[in-house]
Amino acid sequence: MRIGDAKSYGLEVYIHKQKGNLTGWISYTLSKTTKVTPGINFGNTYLANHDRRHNVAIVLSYDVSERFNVSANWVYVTGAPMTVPVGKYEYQGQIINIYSERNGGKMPDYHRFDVAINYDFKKVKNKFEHGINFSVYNVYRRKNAYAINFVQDEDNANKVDAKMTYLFDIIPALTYNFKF
Amino acid sequence: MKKYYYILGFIIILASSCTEIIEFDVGESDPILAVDAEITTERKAHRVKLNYSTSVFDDENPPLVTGASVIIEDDVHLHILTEVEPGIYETLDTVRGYEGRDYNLTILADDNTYTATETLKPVGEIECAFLLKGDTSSLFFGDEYIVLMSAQEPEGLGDYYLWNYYEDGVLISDTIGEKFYGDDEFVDGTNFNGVLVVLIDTEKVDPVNKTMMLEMKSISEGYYDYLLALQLEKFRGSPFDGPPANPPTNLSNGAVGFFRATDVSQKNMCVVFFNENGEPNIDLIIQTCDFGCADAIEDLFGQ
Repeated sequence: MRIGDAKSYGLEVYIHKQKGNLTGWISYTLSKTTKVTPGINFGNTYLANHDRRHNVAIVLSYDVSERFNVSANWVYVTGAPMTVPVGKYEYQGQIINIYSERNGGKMPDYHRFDVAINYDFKKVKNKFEHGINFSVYNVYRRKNAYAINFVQDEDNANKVDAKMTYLFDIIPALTYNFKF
Repeated sequence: MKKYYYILGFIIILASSCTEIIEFDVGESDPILAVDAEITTERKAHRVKLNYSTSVFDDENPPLVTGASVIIEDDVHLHILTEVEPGIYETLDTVRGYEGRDYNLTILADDNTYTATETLKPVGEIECAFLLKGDTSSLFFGDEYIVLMSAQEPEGLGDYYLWNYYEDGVLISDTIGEKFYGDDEFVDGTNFNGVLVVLIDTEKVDPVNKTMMLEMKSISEGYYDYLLALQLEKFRGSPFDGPPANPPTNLSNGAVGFFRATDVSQKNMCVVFFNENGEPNIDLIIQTCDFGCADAIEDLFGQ
């Protein structure tokens, strides 16, 4: 186990609209988190794994009528730092990667847009409330990287490819809610 | 309990984990000098190979470094290497290293000077070496030849070894991934008879009617760490891996690779044949063997 120091600082801005048919908020966070750990990165400062320089969220909700509501959500987060190969060399018949300093590279940025439509059915006397919700996650089908691996190309052994693993494509969902 | 919410969901998930080859900007780094250099106690032309690093996504081989000045020296001798082919520099063929001396490598390439220092440590003699087919019924060995060695490990911790194998004088373990290495942490000062040092894929060699040779080299702790780091690097790829890091180097000024100084001990291997009952044929072993291994054979393979 290695024990080190971490430093984190930043700025948050948050605007919230609560009245009217259109409600929602916009938030922005600028932050930087660094670490110094003896024995890692030659003791030099490096970015923490969870360092996210910019983080934006926009959430809007619009009441079209008393029962009918439309909402949307957009998030944007700077990609996480990662250690990446910046070069390669040959040594005794083998190709060997040269890596950046610890967390010297960056994953692609993460962003996503979701929308939802809610419809409340009319309340009945026995307090039974129910409604239907249709939502679409990741509307514009952004392929957000979960991990990036550097692998040998299948056709050319001298070539390295960046292979991205992503998790969720577009996800439509239909939900029926009731409470009593 | 105030309210209960029951949510019935009808969810269509088109999602699953997918992979895709992407364009990925890792940032360009300037070419870095990579050094593959060695001085040994053998009298021969010693070779230094220089190349420059390239972008990781480049599908060409890294470019060779031509026109560099390369010097290997100890307290007594200074050897200037000549470029025999692009990127390959050699000493005269009368050059050898001496046990116990410090060797300095100096490279002048593109107005930069790179140096490395390595102590040439002595290696013990291989007393006997045996090549035999691994027991395919055991969990540990597949379809491989195993090499057993008899030797006296010198007293005192901090000895590191590397093993190569030759078939009719040709180095078969010629890439770094094929080399075997170890240290004396658990075997310091021991007299071995039959320690397993090398595994050879049966497709790589054909020991019938060939001279098989085992070579043992002394290496430094630094080079041992370098080999270990390369091996760890090879087995990466799981999502639970820690971040990668560069293997250590003994070169200065930002160069990568390693300058090795090694003492060499070689021994022809006794190839062990088994009869159909799985028993070793002792007479046949001795015929293929160097002199003086009869006792070791009797000890290891005698019934």
